[in-house]
Amino acid sequence: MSLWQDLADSYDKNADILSSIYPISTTTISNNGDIIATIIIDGEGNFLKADKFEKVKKDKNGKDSTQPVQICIPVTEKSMGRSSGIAPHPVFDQYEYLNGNGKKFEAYISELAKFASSEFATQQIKAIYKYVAKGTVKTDLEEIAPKDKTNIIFEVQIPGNLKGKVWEDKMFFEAWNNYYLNQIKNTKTLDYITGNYLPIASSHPKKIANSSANAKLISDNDSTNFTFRGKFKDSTEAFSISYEASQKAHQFLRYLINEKRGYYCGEQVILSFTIGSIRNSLPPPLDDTKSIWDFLQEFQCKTEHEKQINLRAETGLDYADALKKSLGGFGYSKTMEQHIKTAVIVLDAATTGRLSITFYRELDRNEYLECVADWHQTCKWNLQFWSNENQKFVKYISAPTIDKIIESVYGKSRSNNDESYIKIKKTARERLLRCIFDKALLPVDYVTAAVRRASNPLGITTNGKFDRDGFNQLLATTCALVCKNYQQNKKEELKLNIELERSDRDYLYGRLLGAADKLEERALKEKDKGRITAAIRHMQAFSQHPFRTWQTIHNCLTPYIQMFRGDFALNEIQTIHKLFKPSDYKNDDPLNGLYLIGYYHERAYIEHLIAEAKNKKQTIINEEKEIENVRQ
Amino acid sequence: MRLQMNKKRNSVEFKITGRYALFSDPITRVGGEKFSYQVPTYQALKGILESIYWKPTFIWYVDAVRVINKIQTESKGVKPIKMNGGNDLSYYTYLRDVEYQVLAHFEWNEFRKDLLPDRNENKHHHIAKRCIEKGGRRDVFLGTRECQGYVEPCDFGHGTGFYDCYGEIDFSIQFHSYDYPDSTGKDELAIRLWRAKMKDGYIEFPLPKDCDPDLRRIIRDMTTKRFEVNQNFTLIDEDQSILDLLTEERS
Repeated sequence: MSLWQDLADSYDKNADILSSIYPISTTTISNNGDIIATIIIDGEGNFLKADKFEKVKKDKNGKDSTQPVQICIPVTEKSMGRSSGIAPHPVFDQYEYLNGNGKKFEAYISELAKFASSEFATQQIKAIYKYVAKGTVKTDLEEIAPKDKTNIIFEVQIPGNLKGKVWEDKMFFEAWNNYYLNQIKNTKTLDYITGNYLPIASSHPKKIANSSANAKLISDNDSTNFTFRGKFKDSTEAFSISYEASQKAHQFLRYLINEKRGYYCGEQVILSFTIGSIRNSLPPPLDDTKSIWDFLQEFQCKTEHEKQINLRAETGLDYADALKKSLGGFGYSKTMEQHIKTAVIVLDAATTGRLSITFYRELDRNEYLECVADWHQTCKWNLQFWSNENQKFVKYISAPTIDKIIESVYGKSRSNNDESYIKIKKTARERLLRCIFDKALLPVDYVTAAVRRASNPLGITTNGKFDRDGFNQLLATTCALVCKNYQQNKKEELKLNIELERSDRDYLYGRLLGAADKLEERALKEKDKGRITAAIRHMQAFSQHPFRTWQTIHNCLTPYIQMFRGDFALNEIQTIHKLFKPSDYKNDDPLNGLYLIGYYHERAYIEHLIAEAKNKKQTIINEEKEIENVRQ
Repeated sequence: MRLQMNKKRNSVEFKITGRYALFSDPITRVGGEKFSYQVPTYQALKGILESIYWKPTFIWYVDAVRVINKIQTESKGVKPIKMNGGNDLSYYTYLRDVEYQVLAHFEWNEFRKDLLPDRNENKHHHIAKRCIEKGGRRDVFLGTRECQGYVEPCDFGHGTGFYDCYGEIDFSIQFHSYDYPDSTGKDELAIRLWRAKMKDGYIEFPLPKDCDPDLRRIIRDMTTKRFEVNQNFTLIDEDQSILDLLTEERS
């Protein structure tokens, strides 16, 4: 159960694939900020021509007009961590190191000479050395006009060798790696990761996550503070890690991050992966149920029934149930081995320069899936999404995404780059991740905050106007949270559909509010579309003093009551009144989250009754038509 | 699965609980970020024993530890102080709500021949047991000082634990303990690594001398402090200020 061992092992198991895209002893350069100049030479070191990778620019639509490239270049430990000193890269380097004069060039050329004359050098490397030693780089690149910091790479055209582009040749990186290991082979030490005696790493890679590029996970340069001084004189006394293990672990981590397999928020990165494998086969932990379901479709052995579910956006489909069945059932587990381990990591940077692991969990694959399925099963509610093809809202049952939960608790981000919101979001994500994987209890303060936010619907606006759809979304998310809270604190599973017999005071008051809302909504639909219903206007006061506020709301409804005599909503209000216990009704205490559930249920129920009545009417009309046809 | 522990004549057993624990992983600690191991190290448990009761006459040896609660972590952002004033920002990842049952025994420190007259096994054993009942003579902490721990006597192996039928978990290479010169007789500081394995919640520790010698690393030279009478300490019978107090009381 050690993070570093897992990463190094995973790299080893997939070495054949990873060593070509993320070889060890390398870092990457890109054309994001500058061009990359290419020098093409032949096998004897004679200049042929110069070329370049254009700098990435954005065209008018904001898209990249040139292809962004990432190229691996070999590095030494010193050169990887270089900032202002002289530390040349072994082969590919910046223009100021290759331009034929100055201290930097001399450092570069002497290192390259050693490499080229060693037993590990390939013909390409020898050719590159011959060429650069001539000192003609400056004149040869005149048309390209590189700046001092422009990266320069080489292409060597040797007849018979198809891999002209040296940076794509695996053997090139292997040659460098073997040479470097040979250089450091006399520095063997006890490796804290593997327990073997291996050459030590004198510094560790940075540039692990793009958002915190200069941050290192393992940093050993603190000579002034309290991190290890006292018992130990320097960092090599405090710990020792082998070069190979460090490179492999970091490269694997970099692979995971760069393949966009995680969630990113500011400098925080959340990853989940299967140890030992690079297949992206784990359900992403922070998504909502429907997205996870869609993700899993690739791995399913589809039964007929499941295929049917796929084909249409099924109304009312309980995705959480389906997810649980499929994760525990046949399709998923048969395609993969049973006893493999998975890990969830969260990395964050408190300061630039230091990346830290804030959460690490290693789980059996079954445990992982069980945790995810459990979360979705207990935190689900009726959600809806807009279906473009049907041009209406399609209802389904699912758990909300973690980000939606954060929005319901803290509200939305105020702008695109809201720094304080990002800080809040980071801690919230980690806290909720613990709820999923550690089975920690959902924080009560989250539930309270969400209920309070949902009780103030007039705060949900777009363009200054009350946003009914946005409010519905917030309501659904909050109901999911209330459900989960009830389940973990009171051990009661709240139903997703209305409970007509339930006589809890909060529930019934919620139902009253829902009925009043629906009643007025119907009236206003025909008359005055922009007007907000009294129920919504008074919702905040209602949640604090339901008995008093209900009188106010009911009075607002009087004009509409006369309009709709036999209306469902009106009947509902009367039915609900009968269900109250006498003392409960007069009780003016504030309501808890259950009232939102009642509110939602009542609205859904009335809609259902209306739909049923419409259908009935339709069937009667159809039957009459048929009878007409038969008669004729 | 209850482990059949080989209890020695002078074994002690106790239970230690705490809200937080931090057994720092040395790899990331050097950077300033503390990330806890999932299970306590041998050295941390030895430190707890030494906080409960310690005399230079003997050395504590931890035989086994049993993890009762589920391993849960919690990370906090902290502002540790820098040496020259000012703050740093860091993330420390603690273990949450820990409970361990520990079984340990002691053996005489062979490198303190000057304390031969103190080698009374019964006396030390009974004092240790009384100290455990009192919760320890000194403050007990789980790994780092801010993680207060509470010691109570218990029956090792009794009660249910979260990992009772869990099977085996391999924690791979971990820090085990330090070798200080006063217990090895050699003038060097060394560290020991080992492969931690937990079976059904029990982690059995072999004696340090039985650990894999390949996983031992000598850090640097270190000498034992020599205690010499009247040089850096005095005997209480000869201490003038105490004698004055005693004559005062008598009169």
